Amino acid sequence: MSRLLALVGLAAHELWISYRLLLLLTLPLLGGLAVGAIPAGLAGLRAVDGAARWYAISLCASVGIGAAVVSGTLAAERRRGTIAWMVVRAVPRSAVQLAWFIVVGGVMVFGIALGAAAAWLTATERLAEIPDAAPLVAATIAAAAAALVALAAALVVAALPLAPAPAALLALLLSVGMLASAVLVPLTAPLPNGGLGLLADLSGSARPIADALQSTGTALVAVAVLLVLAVVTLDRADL
Amino acid sequence: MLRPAAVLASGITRSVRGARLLDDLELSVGVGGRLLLVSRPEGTASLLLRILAGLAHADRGNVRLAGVSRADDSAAGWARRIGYVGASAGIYAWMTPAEVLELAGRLAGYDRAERHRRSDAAVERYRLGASRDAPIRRGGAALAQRTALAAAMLTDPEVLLLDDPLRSVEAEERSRLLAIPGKRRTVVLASAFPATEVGLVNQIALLREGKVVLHAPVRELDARGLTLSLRGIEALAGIGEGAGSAAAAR
Repeated sequence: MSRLLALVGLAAHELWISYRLLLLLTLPLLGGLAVGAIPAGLAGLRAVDGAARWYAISLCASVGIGAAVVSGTLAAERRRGTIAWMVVRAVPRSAVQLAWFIVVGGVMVFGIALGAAAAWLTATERLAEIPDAAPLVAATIAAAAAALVALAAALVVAALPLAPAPAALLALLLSVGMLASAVLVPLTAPLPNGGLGLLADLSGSARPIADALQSTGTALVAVAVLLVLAVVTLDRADL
Repeated sequence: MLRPAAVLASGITRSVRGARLLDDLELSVGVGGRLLLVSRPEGTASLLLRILAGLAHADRGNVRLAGVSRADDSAAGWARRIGYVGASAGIYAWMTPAEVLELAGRLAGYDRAERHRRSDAAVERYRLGASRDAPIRRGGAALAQRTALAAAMLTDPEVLLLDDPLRSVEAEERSRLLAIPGKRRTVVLASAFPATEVGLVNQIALLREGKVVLHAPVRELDARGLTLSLRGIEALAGIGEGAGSAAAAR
């Protein structure tokens, strides 16, 4: 446990000192704030639904950039021997991956929550009657779980023998593809990326909270599967 | 006198992109041995060292260092008994030498008092005092490499694996730092420039075509009037351009 805490601190410091932590935190927040700037005609008939849709679209970009940052960073860590430095001290490779997942996932989820709050506040600013926030909260939780799926996929990419730039690009394409497909194609089944679809079409769901819970569940299962895949891939790689 | 093996590699086989770089390789280094590992092609010695350190995988074969396997992650196991320093330091440039040593101590499972005691000793031995609390980036690659060696020696490892280390450090200082203390400590040094390792090793091994084709005491080179160089080692093995003249000298 003490080792994992040391690794988490190290990953957080590395992200902080290079301003990448700030990027991961502020991108979703900026996305949430930006929905206030969307003209009413584009935002849709119902203010919260419109804001949620635009926030979902902005999340595709911000989570994609976050996934690219993580994948590129870890690929660079492999190249400069930082992971090797830990592994020769009997630190399991999986512990390094888990530390990065905890730090980036935590920051990403916090940023998404802040962004959703900002979107809610900007959308309800001019409303006389404040609607029920529960569907938006549930959809945001499911969207955060979908973001964790993108992050876990980025860890798999980072474990491949790729240079930092191709690793970042591949993670960006994968995560944006996965998240944007949920926004563009109306999804009915509870898929791992369903949270984004729900956020993008909040009024289209008859039972948004139940759908969000189902999507969150499948997303967390997908995260677990992808993390195992990332661990196995890095375990077989040369450092 | 026979000594127990501190480094034992058996049946190590590794192919990269279809080329078999290590082929059923056997290597045994007794406790206290100081082995210089050179190879053709050049990177093979480094690959073997990284396999020994658990950084690269063998397709087949077994490795035991200081009597423990890589899987032993107990406090008294691999983390404290094996040290490795690669060509690149592998340290975050924003860290200070003090932070690196503290982290190495934490990862090795020492308590706070023991970490401080060992860090202080390492700072003194590796002359890190002046830059102890400054980011490593300010001291450049030489400081990073000295800090990496100090961190590897923090646990007083029984086996130290050195993969072409300290190349950014000035030659005289490098020789001083690589004169690793400890009669029972086993050192395996992979080097692309064997001539720079004079005085640091007492055994040499040559890897060719994936196998150890020569493993001999350094004094055999001296006895045959050969220098500690790749040509000299190849000549001792009866391979290459120098082999004829070595035979004549015999």
